Amino acid sequence: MPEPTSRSTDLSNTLYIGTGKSAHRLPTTSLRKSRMGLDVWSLVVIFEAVVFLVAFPLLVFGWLMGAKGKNPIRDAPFESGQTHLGEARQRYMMQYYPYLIMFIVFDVVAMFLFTWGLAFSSVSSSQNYLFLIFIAILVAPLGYASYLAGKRELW
Amino acid sequence: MISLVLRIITSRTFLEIVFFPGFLNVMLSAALLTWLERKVIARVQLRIGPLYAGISGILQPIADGVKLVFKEAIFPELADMKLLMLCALGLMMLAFAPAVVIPFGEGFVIADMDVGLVYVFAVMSLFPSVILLIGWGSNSKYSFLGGLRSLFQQVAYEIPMWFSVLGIVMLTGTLNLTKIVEAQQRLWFIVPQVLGFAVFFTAALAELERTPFDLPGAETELVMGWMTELSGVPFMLGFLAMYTKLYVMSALITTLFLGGWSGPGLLPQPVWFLLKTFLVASVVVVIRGTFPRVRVDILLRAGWTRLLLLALANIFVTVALISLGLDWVWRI
Amino acid sequence: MPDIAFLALSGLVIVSAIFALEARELIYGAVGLAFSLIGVAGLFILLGAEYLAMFQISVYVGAVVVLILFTIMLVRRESGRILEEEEPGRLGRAGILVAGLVALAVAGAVLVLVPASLEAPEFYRVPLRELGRLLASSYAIALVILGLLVGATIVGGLTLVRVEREEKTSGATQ
Repeated sequence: MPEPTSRSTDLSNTLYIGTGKSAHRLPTTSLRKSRMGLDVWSLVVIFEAVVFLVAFPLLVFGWLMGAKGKNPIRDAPFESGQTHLGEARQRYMMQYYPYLIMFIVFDVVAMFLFTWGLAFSSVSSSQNYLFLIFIAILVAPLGYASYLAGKRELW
Repeated sequence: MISLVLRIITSRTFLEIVFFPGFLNVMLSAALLTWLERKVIARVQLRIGPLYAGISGILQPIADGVKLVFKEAIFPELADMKLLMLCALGLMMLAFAPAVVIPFGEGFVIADMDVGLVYVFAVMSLFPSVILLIGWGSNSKYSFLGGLRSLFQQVAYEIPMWFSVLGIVMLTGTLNLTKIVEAQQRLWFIVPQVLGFAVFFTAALAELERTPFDLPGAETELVMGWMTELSGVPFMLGFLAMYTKLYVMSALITTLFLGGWSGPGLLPQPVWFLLKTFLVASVVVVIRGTFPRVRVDILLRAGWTRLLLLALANIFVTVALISLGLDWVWRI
Repeated sequence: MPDIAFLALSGLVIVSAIFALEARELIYGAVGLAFSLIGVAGLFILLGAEYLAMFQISVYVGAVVVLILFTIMLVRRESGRILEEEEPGRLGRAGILVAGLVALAVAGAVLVLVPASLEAPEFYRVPLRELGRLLASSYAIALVILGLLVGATIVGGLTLVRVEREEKTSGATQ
């Protein structure tokens, strides 16, 4: 039920969603208890704990099992028989850097897009067009990034 | 105290987490998939594959596992051993993480998460950084290059993957995987979302680093890519994590597009689910034996431009479907 | 009654951040940052913003940290042990003392003024459908502006990096 303007005094412990006349106050709840009084996220933690409890002893066991003793030939990085030359960390794939930037951008875009997708059926069609414009705006920089990433001599 | 422990151990929650559909199920399925892959690839290449360990070599994964546990883990001298071992552990935990939300039957899921779909995507987005750390921490040119290639490949194909399921989200209005499966009772999503399925499947192949996208682990070029310097138990964890990812992705494809656990009542629902999942995994394996590898710049460009455009096209198709009023098919 | 999950997650955020600052290798710093951000995502879950937590992980830990790692790995040619170890001198020790006192003062003030601060924060469940509807209707203009802003930033950033590259390569071929 909307409560339009009676929120000027009590700002603590209330959260409003929406603006103006359509604003409504959200009730405080708690995490939904899924099973055995545990909420969903505790179950995830427990599951991961099980995986950890199996994998970690394996790691420790393997580490204890190994024969010790250093040997410079054996300890060299594997290069199919060639002797080890040069420092490993070099700048090979800098030309694809624009793709990393685009990834961050489209990651955030996907976040908005999913909320839009969830609400899609309840939104009128004219309002949807603005969202499509939002997507279209970001296609142009994507094209530019792809163009830059394709030119190896620039990097 | 003992009675409390006993009550916990025999509770349905605990049994589900540890045995089925939880940890043991995923672990055994991943091991089974290593065997399945070797057999299927062998047949595609006109040979036989593992033969001696158990009937038709089915105990081969156990033999491999035991061997790897007792091998010494050799790392290059300047490599960061602790980092590599921790990252191998992290890979394993990340690969298992999506399994808690995948439903095996009506109400048969470990964690019924309201944001299950984006939870899976969030977990998958953590893989590139772990792989990058392994590649860099190995202090080897081949490993690092493999790690970089893997990073760019996975990053490029994650976005089309996310966009391709947007159609399903629009049709069902929920991110809860159980509800998505329930919505497919009349018609599986693979029919209206053919484009989305194609994009998702392709992107999943790239996420799994499988042919035709296995450049990060290209045997003829990079030895084993970012996994080159792993050995012994860390290698086993990494290797198992790859096949666990395969199982989890196949299960996800089944859940999203193939109706999850739905099927005629002859067989119980989890059996249908497992059948479909292993069918998808087998297709992935056959593809490995059939297709050549894609070059890295073509791969990245295709992921960022063509595949993304296809995913957007899928969104438009879905918008058209809904405006035509056809979305009642998937309302429960 | 302090909430264990809240304490644990807050501890993770703080300890990881300290580790990220104090780590000898930059890479470890980035890993510490990642763990800190995961802790923040956990705090979002405690507040009831599960969706936001998932995207916090995807965007921050999955993308931004990756970018940081990539930059560190490719820009530094040495193994990363750039930061030399120095014993904190007299000024350094005084600085640590002052920082510790300030931290204690702030913590004390917070505990006094907001007495329930060790409990978990209030939990509101925001219906995602409502959020999407609002984004599409009331805040759509803001979204379009955001898109334009982000697009301009990308194009600008890429052009700047490209210009630097071109200067370098054209200088090298002289």
